Amino acid sequence: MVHEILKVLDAKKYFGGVMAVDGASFSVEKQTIRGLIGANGAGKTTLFNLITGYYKLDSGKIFFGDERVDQLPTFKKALIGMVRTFQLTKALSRMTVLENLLLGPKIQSGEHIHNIFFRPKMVANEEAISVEKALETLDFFDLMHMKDDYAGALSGGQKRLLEMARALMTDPKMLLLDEPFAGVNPTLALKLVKRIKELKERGMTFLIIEHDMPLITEVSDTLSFMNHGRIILEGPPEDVKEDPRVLDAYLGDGA
Amino acid sequence: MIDYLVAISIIVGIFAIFAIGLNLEWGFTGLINFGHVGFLAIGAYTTVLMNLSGAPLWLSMASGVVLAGFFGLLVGIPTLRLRDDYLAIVTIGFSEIVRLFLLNEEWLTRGPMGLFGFDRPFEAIIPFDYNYFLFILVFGSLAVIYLLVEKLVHSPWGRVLKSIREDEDVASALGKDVFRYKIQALMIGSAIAGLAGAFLAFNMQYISPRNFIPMETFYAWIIVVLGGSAKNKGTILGAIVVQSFYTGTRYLQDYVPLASHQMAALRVMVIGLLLVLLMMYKPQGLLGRKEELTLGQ
Ligand SMILES: Nc1ncnc2c1ncn2[C@@H]1O[C@H](COP(=O)(O)OP(=O)(O)OP(=O)(O)O)[C@@H](O)[C@H]1O
Ligand SMILES: [Mg+2]
Repeated sequence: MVHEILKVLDAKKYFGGVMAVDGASFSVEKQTIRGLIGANGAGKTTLFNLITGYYKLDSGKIFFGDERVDQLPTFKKALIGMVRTFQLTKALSRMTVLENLLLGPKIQSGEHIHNIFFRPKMVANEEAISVEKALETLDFFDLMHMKDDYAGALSGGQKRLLEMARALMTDPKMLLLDEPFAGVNPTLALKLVKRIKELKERGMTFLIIEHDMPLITEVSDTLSFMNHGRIILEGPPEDVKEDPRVLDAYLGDGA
Repeated sequence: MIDYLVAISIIVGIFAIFAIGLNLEWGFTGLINFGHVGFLAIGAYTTVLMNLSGAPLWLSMASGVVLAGFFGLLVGIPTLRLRDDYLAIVTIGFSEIVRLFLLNEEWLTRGPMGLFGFDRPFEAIIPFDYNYFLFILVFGSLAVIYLLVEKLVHSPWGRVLKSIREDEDVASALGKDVFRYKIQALMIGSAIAGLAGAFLAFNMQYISPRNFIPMETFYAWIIVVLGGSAKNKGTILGAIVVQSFYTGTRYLQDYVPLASHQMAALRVMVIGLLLVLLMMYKPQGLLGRKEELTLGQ
């Protein structure tokens, strides 16, 4: 129990007749990187939406640490350390890249109106610390030169990087990444893989949806394979990717 | 001539305050409030009714502002968790309910006959033309409101408002309680409208439900869009343009061979035409930033 950070029990979500998630169960150990693969429409993103509270479960249970969280609103899950990125990137277009990142820090006294007027020093100090951290992060993600541009002006790949940079600014315990490498150039993708592993060493846990096989086998400790709304296979990446069911889903006609 | 300019400027100042409240809601937070005038009415009637029943004027005004903000809370609680368009529908209904209440509850509001005979700030002790004093009061308040709102929108709090406007899913993913911020924005915007209502009453010295028709809300929208959403300076400029035009054309009446209702219709048509031209040639608003329009989602 202690070393499982996330546990999903028999999660179900139906859209009309579509069983998007149909009894998925799995758990992720603390300080590991879990890959989640599966054909298009297997239910991976829907599972993310259930875990992070964007959709309500039709049935099932979700635990984060020891706490049952499936009734918690999304923002509270983020506050206890569970943060996700979006497959369809959501840059806050009419805000600058830097502003996007500055939203990240969880505890900001300047988000309370009375502090803005009565504790301006405290607000300013915190802001200075956040800016410093944001600049370091932007530097790592090769976005420094864009910091004062509108986020809406970034390229597709840059928006993906921005998503991840912004999520990291919250100092999450667990990060759920929905196709973080799609559209990112290979060199930078490898750099991201390295950074993800470093962050793991420092205690962070990852759940990563990805279609790029070489990258996901490289980054994951364990791989879970999702098919028709269920996790049907789990194990070391090398084994999972050779499994006939996986090969069939990725190479076959998917039937 | 000076007196005339002062009279027009007071109206401009009141509408600028009114529209800055809407700009906080729409321009910064993305809330669609089609019933802004309801809060104007609450501010005006509360101030006047309390004063007429003997309360000191400052207390009456403060109550008007607080009550307008409180109604922002009441309207927000059931609607702000729902999809954006619910707020639009509910607010427009709310402002009409307020107006019909004022029209029908004659025991309280004297209905269509309206209210007059209330105090105005320091009227007894101002030795010069009161309008000059009202001018100073309105523009002093406008300056204070402008500075306060600017301070708010440039704070981390304001940053969250903008993120909600852009995409509230991101705000919640980052741990922001979207509902709390929307409620706060609506309450503050409504309270500001309430203050504008008190000044409206002081300026007209007479209020009736006819002053609070839905069209007033749309003047505020025109001002905000014309000036460039999320630009408070633009909102002030928008108020100057719209109200000088509106008031100016009223005086043209004497020189144009049109009946007053025809003139009123013509005026709305011309404002509409101006908006169309603006959307064609400067769609970001007078002070808006052009780049914002070309951003992909
Ligand atoms: N909001 C929704 N309303 C209706 N159906 C939905 C909704 N979201 C997902 N679905 C359906 O649920 C199924 C699973 O979709 P999901 O997005 O979870 O797949 P995925 O595994 O993330 O696929 P991909 O790899 O293409 O991103 C699909 O059949 C999809 O059409
Ligand atoms: Mg998906």
